[in-house]
Amino acid sequence: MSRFLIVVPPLAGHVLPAAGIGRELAARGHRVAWAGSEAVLRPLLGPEAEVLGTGSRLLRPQGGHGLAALRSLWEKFIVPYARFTEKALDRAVLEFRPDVVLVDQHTPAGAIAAHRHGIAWASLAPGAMELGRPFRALPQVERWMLDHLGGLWQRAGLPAAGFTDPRFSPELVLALTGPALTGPDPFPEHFALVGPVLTDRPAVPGFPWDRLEPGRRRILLTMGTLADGVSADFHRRALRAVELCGTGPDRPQLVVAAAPELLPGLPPDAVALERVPILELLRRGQVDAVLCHGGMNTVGESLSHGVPVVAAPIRHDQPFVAAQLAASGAGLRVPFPRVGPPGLAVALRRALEDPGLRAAAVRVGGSLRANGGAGAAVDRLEALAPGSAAGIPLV
Amino acid sequence: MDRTESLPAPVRPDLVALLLSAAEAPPDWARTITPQARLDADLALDECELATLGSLLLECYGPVADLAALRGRLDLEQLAELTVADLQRELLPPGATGPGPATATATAVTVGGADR
Repeated sequence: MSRFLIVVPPLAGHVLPAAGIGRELAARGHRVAWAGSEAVLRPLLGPEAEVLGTGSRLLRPQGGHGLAALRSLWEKFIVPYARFTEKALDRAVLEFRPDVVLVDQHTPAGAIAAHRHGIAWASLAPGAMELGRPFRALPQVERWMLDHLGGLWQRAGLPAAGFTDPRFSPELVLALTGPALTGPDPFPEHFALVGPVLTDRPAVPGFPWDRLEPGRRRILLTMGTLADGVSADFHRRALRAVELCGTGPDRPQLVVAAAPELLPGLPPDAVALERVPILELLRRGQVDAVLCHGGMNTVGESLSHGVPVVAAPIRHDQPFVAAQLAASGAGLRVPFPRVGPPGLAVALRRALEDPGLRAAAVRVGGSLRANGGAGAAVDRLEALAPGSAAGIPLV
Repeated sequence: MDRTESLPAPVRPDLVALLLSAAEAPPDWARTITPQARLDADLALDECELATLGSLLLECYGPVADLAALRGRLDLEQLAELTVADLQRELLPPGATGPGPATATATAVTVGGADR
C-alpha cells in the first residue's frame, strides 16, 4: 500500500475526474488524502475523504474570452491561489508524508512542495490547456507563463538552476484525453493519455428523473461552471435553436445545467438545474446530443457514451478541444460569440440525426474508453511509488 | 505596431472577406470590422479562428502575409491590442486586392456561423 496526496484547485470540473482516480487508488488499497479547499472538496468527495485543508479564499478565474481570459486565469487565479496555498501545501506534504503527489496543472504550488521535499509527483492535465502547448506559436506568451511559474519557484526558495516546470512532471503527466482527439502527433513517453475518468460520482440529490419524457429526443446543454457571466445570451440563442429543431413531441427535450432563473423563455418541459448528473444521464442513455463549451470533461464523457457534441468554445483550452472534436468527425464546432439560433439549430439537428456523426462519436468514444481511464491512471501512479517495480526511490 | 498615421485607412474589402470567412460569419458581421477593431477583444476571434485567418492570408497573398509570424513577435499586451488596421498595414501588399472571397476557403471544420 502506498500513500497518495492529490492536490486540486477549488473547481468542480477539476475535482470530479481527480475524485475518480482517488476512488480507484482507494479501491486498490492505497491511502489517499486531498489537499485543497475543504469547503469545495468536502461536498464533492463526501464525508469519508481525508482532506488536508488549505483554507478557502474566493479566487476564481474571471470571465471574458481570448487573451483577457488567459491573463485573468493566470493573474487572478493560478498565481494568487498558488501563493495563498503554498504554506498549507508544504505542511500537507510534511504531515501526510505521501509516496506520490498527484498535482493538477492549475495548482503549481503542489508540485513545488513535492519537489522541495524530494517526493515523486505526477501532473494531472484535466484539459488541453497546456498539453499540446497551444501557445507555442506565441513565444512571448509562453515566456510570460513561465515567468509566472519561475516567480513561484523563486518565492519557494528553490534554486533557479533547478527550475522544473510545475505543470509538467518529468516523471508522469496524466491527461484525460486520447489520441482519437489529440491526433497522431506523439507525446513523450512519460505522458499517459488515459481518456476520460468515468467512475461513479456522488449522486445529485433532487434531480427530477421522472420529468425525462420517454420517447423524446434529448439535448443536454452545459456551458461549464464558470461561464455564467458570458452564457446568458448564448443560452437565449440555444433555447431558440432548440425550438427550431422540431414541433410538438418532435422537438427535443432540453436538460440544462444552469439555474432556471438565468434562463428566461425556458420551455415548460425543459429540466434546468444548477447541478446536473451529466455522467449518469449519459450512462442511462438519456442524452441524444450535447451542446457545450468544449470543456474536456464534457466532450470526453459524451463521446465515451457515443453521443455527438456541438461545441461553442468560450475560452482557454476550449477552442482547441472544439477543433479536435470537429477534426475527429464526432462533433461540430460553432462560434460561441456569433452563432445564431438558425445556425445552431442546423448543428443540433445534425448532431441528433446525422448517422455519420453518431458513428464517429461511437468510434472516437470507444477509442477514448480504451485508453483506460482511472484504471490506467492508477497503474501509472502505482509505478511511480517507491517500492514498486518501476518506482523511484525518495531522494 | 507603428501607429503614427492619424487616420487609419478604411478596411479593404478583400480583408473583410477573409475575416468573414475565418469567423464563419454572415455578411452583416462586416459592420464590426472597423480599422480600430481588435482581433481579440472586439472581433472575439479565438486562437483557432486566428490560425484559419493566417492560412487564408498566406493562401491569398503568399509568405508576405504571415500572420503567425507577426503574432509570434508580440507580447500579450500587444497581441490584445492588435487591430484590423495593423493587419492591413503590416500584412497586405499595397494595391493588391488578393483573389477575394471566391477562393477563400476556411480550414476550420465549423458549421452554423453567425446568423444572429
